[in-house]
Amino acid sequence: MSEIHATAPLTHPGSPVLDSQEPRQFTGKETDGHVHTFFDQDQYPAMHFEDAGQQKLAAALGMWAFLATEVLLFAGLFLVYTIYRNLNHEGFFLGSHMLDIPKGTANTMVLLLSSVCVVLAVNQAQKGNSRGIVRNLIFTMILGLVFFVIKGFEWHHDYEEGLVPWMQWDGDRLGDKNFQLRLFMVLYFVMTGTHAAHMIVGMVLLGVVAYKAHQNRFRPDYYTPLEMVGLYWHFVDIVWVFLIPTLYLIDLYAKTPGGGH
Amino acid sequence: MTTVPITPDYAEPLPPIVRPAGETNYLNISYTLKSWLLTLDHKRIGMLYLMSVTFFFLIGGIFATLMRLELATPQGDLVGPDTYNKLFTAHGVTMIFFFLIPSIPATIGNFMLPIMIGARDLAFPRINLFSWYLYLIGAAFTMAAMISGGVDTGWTFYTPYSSVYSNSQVALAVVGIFVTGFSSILTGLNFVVTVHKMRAPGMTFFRMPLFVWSNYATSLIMVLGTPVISITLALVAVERLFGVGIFDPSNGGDPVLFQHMFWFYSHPAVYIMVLPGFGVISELMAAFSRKPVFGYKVVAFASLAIALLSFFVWGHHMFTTGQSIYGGLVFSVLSFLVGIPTAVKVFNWTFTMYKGSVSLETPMLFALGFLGLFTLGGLTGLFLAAVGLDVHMHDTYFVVAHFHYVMVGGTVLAFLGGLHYWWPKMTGKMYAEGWGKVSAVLVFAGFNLTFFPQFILGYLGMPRRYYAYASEFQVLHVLSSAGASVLALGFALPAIYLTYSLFRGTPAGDNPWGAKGLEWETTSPPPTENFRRIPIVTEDAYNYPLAEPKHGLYPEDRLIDNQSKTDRGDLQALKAGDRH
Repeated sequence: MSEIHATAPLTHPGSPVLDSQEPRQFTGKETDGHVHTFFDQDQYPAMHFEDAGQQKLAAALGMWAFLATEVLLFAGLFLVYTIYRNLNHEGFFLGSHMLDIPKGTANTMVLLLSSVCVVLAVNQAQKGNSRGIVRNLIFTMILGLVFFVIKGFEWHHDYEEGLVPWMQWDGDRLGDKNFQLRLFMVLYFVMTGTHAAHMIVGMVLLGVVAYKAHQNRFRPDYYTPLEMVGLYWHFVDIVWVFLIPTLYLIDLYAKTPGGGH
Repeated sequence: MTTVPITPDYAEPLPPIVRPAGETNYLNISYTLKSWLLTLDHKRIGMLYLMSVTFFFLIGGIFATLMRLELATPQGDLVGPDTYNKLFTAHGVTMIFFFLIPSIPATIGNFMLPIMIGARDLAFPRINLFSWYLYLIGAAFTMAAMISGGVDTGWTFYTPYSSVYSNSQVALAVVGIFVTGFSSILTGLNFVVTVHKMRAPGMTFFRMPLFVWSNYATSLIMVLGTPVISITLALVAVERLFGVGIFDPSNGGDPVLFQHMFWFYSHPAVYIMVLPGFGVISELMAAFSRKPVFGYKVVAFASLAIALLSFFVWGHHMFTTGQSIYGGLVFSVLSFLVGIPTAVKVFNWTFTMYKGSVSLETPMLFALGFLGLFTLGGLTGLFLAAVGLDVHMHDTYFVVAHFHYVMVGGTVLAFLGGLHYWWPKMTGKMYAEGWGKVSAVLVFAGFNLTFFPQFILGYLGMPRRYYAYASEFQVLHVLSSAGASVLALGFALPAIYLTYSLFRGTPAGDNPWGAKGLEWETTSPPPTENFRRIPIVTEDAYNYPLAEPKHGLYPEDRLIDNQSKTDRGDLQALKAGDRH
């Protein structure tokens, strides 16, 4: 490894600093009138990357790895649900009939539409249209709010019906199997609640990238944060697409609610 | 007959590293507190982690000391049963979540992994710093739980005791572990991306040092396993805070489901703790035997095989919880399978030393200690993986001794070995070699004195987690407590002489061990950007001079007469002629 002393090129073609043919200056060296430190925040690509392509690929892989983590997080919830549904199908079927399918369907539509808006924002970024990015992200956030409004009405309705297990529970309809419905409602609130928490995080992130777009920070060859937040938002949507059939639609064709099978 | 020059090409002296006057390194670039607390430098974050895990090792050690003091006599005279329950919980939680899991990856890994693959930093420096703060926040929550009354569930948080009946601070402790889990996920994620995307030109996957391989395998477990325990513990917290039944059988919940989900993470977590240790040992064996690691690729793949298999063995913690007998048998077989890649590693380290020029410096002493202790820990693990034997041994001191042999004899010895090995690189200072050797011997002797009696205790039927015991066990318990004090001395010594070396140590030079690897090519301590110029890698890892050269001669051949071995055909003809 004696080649470490050789003069290896510090940059690859396509790197913005290639023109100067000078190795990039690190700690405390003064260039272009101000002192660059190694971790200067406003440099792209960041100092520890060789070029922009490497930074973009790293960000993408990091986001996908994070989504893998998120999949495993929700997988835990789906596992608990699957086991308990197997053991307590009566209560789970009855519970699914107590949920509001039209509102759930509306929310699915709202979320899918919001995903379309994120894709349109990325498309605008590729065209270099910052105003287009901001516009589409605002649409996305409005749709996210609509989701919360509908979900809020739904949760409030559940509360009035006495279906919240830890608040004035009034869901004893199955005699000695009352616990089954309670278990379903607990899982319903935990799963939709975890999803909602992810939505809130997603909305904040959308706000951050919308602000960045407003500041004209994105270029057709650099919009990585927008793309990554978009991936996250799509993931949150997909989780909902799995939640809908799992919670709302499990006993759709039953002749009599709750005991159809 | 031609004469081949005896000096091979690899023996050419390296050109001296020319250092500019008044050069900066990552330590002297700034001395302000802010420059440390807001640093994005993986080396500084590694040092911050090192200080934090050392602190929690001390805390966990204090809990252990109190337990060993109590166990010196059969009666409960120092602490009562409730306090004892809280002590072993605090010891387990602190040592596992706040020392063992971050110990090697977040300190040595954070510091060395980017340098070893020729990168300027981890892929996401800000996420790296964020993970340290998450770790501290999580630790603050859990320590608050320990101070405000403690937790008495054991580190396993088994339901429904933890979720319904325990009157201690379970929710607070669990929230802390949840937060710390995300710190671990982010570290793993950073490592995965760094290994995939940040390698220097020429640093192919099969040129990476084995320490990088094992940290990569660890990171996969961190990314895929940790979220499962996060959500499981979140469900326990929900159950406790809202008083609803998820794992509570009186509300239709299944407590065994909790155990399944808990061990789905917590068994792989054992490999999170020990795999980076394997990586350290690979480095040490190569560096102090002056040979490449025997079967490099096999050792690399063994790390991945362990990471994969670790996800399919969790049921061996539950042989006595009434899982189906077929389930038990399958988990037993799968647990035995993990023994294969693990044994491959142990054998390969042994073969690495074979015909090497082994030098017994402090890191190597720790590595040899690891080899003995970990082998014993691994073999007793096979006892416990056998269903029939485990029913007898379950929840006895045999289990306690087994996992301490793996976790302390394995991970902690590897951690200390690695710390001594890379200390000159991390700080630029050399520690006192004599004291290092004393410490290595004390740790090895004290450890065996502490935990070997516990194998016997467990086999005789002493259950774990008891504050009082039958008086016939006292001799073994006193031996164990006596060993613990030797062990404590062995652990205290490095803290003293390593800290001392920071101020008074002799400058170490760039490569005090004459070891191979990119980290030894840069200066000690390295500059903020790690390398003045990004290296171009042209050779395999561990390319030590005694390594088998490409033209097929064995190292010992080179020591004999040059002429006769350059032309093997002549030599054989000569021998054939003799015979006639």
